[in-house]
Amino acid sequence: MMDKELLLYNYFSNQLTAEEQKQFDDLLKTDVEFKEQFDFEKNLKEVIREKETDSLKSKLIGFEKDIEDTVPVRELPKRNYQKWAMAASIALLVGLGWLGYNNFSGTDYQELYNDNFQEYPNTVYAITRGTETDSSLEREAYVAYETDDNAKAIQLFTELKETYDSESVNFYLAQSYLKNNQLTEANTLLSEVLEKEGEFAPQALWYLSLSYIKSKQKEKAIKSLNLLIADGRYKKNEAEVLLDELD
Amino acid sequence: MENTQAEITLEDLRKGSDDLLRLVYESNRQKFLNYARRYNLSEEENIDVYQDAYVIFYDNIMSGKLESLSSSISTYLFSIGKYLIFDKMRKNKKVVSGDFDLSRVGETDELVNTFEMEPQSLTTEQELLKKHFGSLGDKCQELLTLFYYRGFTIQEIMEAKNYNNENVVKSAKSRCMKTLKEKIQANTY
Repeated sequence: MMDKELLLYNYFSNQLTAEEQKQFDDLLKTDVEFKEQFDFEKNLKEVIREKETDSLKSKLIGFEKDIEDTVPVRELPKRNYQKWAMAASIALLVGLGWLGYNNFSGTDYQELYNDNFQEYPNTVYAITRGTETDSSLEREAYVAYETDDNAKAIQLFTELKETYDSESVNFYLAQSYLKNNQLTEANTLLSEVLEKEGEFAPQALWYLSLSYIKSKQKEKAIKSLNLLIADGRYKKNEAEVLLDELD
Repeated sequence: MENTQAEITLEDLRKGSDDLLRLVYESNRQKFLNYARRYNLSEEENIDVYQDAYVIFYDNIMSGKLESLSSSISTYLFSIGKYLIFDKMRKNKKVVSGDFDLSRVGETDELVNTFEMEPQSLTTEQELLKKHFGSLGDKCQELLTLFYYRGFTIQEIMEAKNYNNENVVKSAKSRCMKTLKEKIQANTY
């Protein structure tokens, strides 16, 4: 029988022979510990894949931005009065349109918010773990959160906060308020999370920025986005893009 | 451009330097956008599709699903892009003008039919793992990424990262895995 560790190694470097593959499959069925280790490594592979994909995506967004910034202005042939006149009137129209847009409609804050808001996944509490025997308040709160039952999530997290006032409870309560469009409540909690300077601090900054955008508090949004970019741990690229759009 | 692309090998892509990523992105972009315009999506949507196609192409190289380039890179990008566009239109229930056959919606080219087009979103457990993986030291993250994502063997890691011998790599890898497991156990309650 081949070393289990080597089997896993060969699996993840795509080098299992047919015979090893058979051993491998047998072990998965019979050896609980082996299966656990395999699942762990497989999950890890998936997590890294997602992380790398995200980072590739932000690189592509960066390339795209560079292209937009360097598109050369097409030169019009000289001595062609008509084309010039056309170009001039288009420029005038665009200019007027831009002025009008800038003066009268301004930034579409709601749209910026919608484009960027995505609820933060529950990374705290593994709902499947305890199965049905676990009927703790905490579990119910996260279940409500994950199933978008915002009112219930708010109620349960608030109850939980009375006995267990932690950074994560505050953060997910704030998330629930945001989803329920109660911005003031969300902001207070996010500021609390921020003050703790713990693991959710950069995330709190991001959501605080979005909340400010939604309530059209441009200066505050810009300030917190800048803090987030300086922090650099979370959504740095997205924050830069948003900042551009606000300016 | 055509010539530079012809020389890009799968190995080069796997190494994935930023310069190469940019070169491939820029040299196929215009062609792709011209092609995509016939489907009446907005320019912004076309750019999104192009980027998604690019990411999927890359992902399938890394996961070993694409073992050799039997066609030019742009052919792959077009095939994936076409699938994504049809998929998008189906989801938008967009009424399509033009003369292409809707029965082809969702159908993928032979070339890419083994590709994984829609990666699953992470489970709760994986999200937790992601958080802790992100808190590992850079060295550990790099080593595990080389192994689990880029498909480097221990020997290749040793060569690429100037480790003294394979055993050093192996024990570094087990240490990283051990730390990761400890972090998870400490956090789960």
